[in-house]
Amino acid sequence: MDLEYFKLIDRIVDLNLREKTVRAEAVVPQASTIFEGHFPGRPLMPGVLLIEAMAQTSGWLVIALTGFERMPFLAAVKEAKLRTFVEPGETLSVFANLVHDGSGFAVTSAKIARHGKTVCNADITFRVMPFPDPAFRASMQRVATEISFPVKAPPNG
Amino acid sequence: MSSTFDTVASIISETCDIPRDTIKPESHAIDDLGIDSLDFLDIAFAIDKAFGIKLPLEQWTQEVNDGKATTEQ
Repeated sequence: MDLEYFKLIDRIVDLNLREKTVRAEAVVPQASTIFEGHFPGRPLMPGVLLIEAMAQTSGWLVIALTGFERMPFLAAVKEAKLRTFVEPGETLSVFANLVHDGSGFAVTSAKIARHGKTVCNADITFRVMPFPDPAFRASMQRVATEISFPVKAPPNG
Repeated sequence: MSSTFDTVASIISETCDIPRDTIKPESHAIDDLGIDSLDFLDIAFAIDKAFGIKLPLEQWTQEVNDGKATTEQ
């Protein structure tokens, strides 16, 4: 993770277009100015940023399913449950699957696990629309490369 | 047996937390019921689950934006 640049996942570990699932890895940094405020003397990963990690992971799945032609934007978070504390330095696995592919929107179900145990989960809705300009798409493709997103279609479909 | 309207009205009522008795066939979704674009996504999802029908929201939005349809339509 690079919290100051709002990068909440480190790499895409698995992307299955046939099953419409994605798995990412995210390592909570040992230090961040965010922890100085949240909280002084008891650093904890903010729950809203765990939700963002789930949203980013889900978003990459949606981008992949559109063939990198459309961009998802967070529209709603439902049933978000933050089940336990997450501390600096922890390694997290973030999972998402597509629940619904609508006209101009998508719904995913996501969760984060630590040592195989769920630490949080949520249902996430995105508005999905064409990239407004080629430069934005190119920027997102650069980010995709940094997180090992398979810019070309993976073998599983 | 519920009519299609009853089923859809119930979906709208539950999805958007609108009293069921305020939803009438002539109700304007935006002006009367206060439904916004995000609510429409939730309603479209619920209708797809109930009827297996995918509402073409993007097409409708584009037609309104292009002046080919009114919001009433």
